[in-house]
Amino acid sequence: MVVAKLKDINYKYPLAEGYALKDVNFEFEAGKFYGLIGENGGGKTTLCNLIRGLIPHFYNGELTGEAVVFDTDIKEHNAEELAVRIGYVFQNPFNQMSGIKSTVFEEIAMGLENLGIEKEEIIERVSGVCELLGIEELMTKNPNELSGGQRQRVAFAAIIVMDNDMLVIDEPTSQLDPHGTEMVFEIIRKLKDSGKTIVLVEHKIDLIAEYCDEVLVMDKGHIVCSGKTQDILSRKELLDYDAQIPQVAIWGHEMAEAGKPLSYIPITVEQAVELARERGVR
Amino acid sequence: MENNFINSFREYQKFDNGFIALNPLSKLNMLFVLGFSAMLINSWRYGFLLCILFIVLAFAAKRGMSFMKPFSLIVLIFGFFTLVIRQFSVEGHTVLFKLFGVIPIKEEGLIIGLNTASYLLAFSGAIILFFVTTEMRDLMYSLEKKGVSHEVSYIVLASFQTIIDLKKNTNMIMESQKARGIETEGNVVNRIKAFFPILGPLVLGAISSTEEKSIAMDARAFSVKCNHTFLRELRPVPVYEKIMVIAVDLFFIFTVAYKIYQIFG
Repeated sequence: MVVAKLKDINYKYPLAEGYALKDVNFEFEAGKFYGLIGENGGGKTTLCNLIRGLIPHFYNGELTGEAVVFDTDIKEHNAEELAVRIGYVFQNPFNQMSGIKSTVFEEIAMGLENLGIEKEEIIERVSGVCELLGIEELMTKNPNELSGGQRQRVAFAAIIVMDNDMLVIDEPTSQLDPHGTEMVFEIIRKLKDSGKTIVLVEHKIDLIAEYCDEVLVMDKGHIVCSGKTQDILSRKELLDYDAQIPQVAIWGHEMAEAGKPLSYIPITVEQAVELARERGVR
Repeated sequence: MENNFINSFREYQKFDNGFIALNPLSKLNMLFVLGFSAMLINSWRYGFLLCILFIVLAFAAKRGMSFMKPFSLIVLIFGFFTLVIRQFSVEGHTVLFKLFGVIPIKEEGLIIGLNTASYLLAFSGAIILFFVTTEMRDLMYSLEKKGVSHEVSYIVLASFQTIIDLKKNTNMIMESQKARGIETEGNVVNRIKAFFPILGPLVLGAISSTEEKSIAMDARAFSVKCNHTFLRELRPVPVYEKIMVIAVDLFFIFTVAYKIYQIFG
């Protein structure tokens, strides 16, 4: 099943000179985990905004082409309801707290209160999410006094508790320290197991290699290539688009250049270890 | 401990003091009306009696210090100022005593001054007492229950956090501008010059974070049109509280009627 279908999309932000998205064609399928990589300013966040209906409902500008999300054209969607069906977590952990709740528990519950869910169900769902994400120790704390990493985990909880059909996660770890990053990866790992459709924008390429089913590479508003993670991340040409490839993939290419090609180009450390074993390295 | 915390949402919020536990709107109604009645009755005996009542209530609710801090300031400024002004503006003949042996203090001016000071103090006391014994979120909760939109409620509550955040940002921007060589200390001219490089990033930053925040809040169903539920609930207004409010309101209506009678009758 296709959840989001983009056909011949061109988009220009208001007052902007160039197009932020050019000839974008893609179909996002239900239950898959997509990784979105590429240079800064390549259109990754714009693509996220389009899927979520922020374009054209929140940002005006010039949009041509056909964008269909959940079987309805994006222009005809009720912006408020679409925002709820597609969960969104972004870079800045500080701007994702409401600023009106005095405990993390209430902060996470806010989305459900806004939907008019019965109190007993709210309590069950919020406690469930806190347990799932392992943030029980934060429950009674003031969300406005947490560290960036803790806030980002609360931001995830506040979105996950709403049980969205799809999640768009835009560089969740770019402002976090290694510990905070590890905690957020842990959450993403759990989300993958839940089988939801996920679009993750991330520069940490090893994370993409480990979790994503498919990868899209964006450059100057185009989707330059897309496909199975193994096929895409093993391509050396990605470096020409200012996108990274995993260190182990570079190793694979260098082995080939040295005249000792591996049976395939590894993208994760596990694969590299396996290939090294094949060679008799112990 | 966490279970206790979670269970606390299953019942109405508990307060350790009867006065604090009053519904914010009942409290607002009673205090406002009492403050106004002091203005109508305009007698220092009644005004100061109310002030004492407010002080007692504040201490009983364990908010004594946070009440006395602003209140004593108002006593000093308003109270003293009115007494002095009235000495000069009111003509009097009965000299009570001579201050420093020179300045005559007259009875007429003193009484009128005390009357004015007392109602000003009673009125300010009522407002201060309300705010030190009521959490804003509880007030907004009661208002939302009465039909005020949740947008209004959000704006009021978020502005408190925004002030704290802006203050933090100002300090951060000030530090970074200092590091870039902009002088923020010293004489007045220096300080005024530093104003713009600090204000610019602060305002622009606030605008861009507002955009992000509204996107984040929309993802939390903020704009979805439906009746909200409340995780944190206040008790329904008990009968005795309703009777108290009606009694205070009746007393106020009686005072107004008496005042009108005094003026026209």
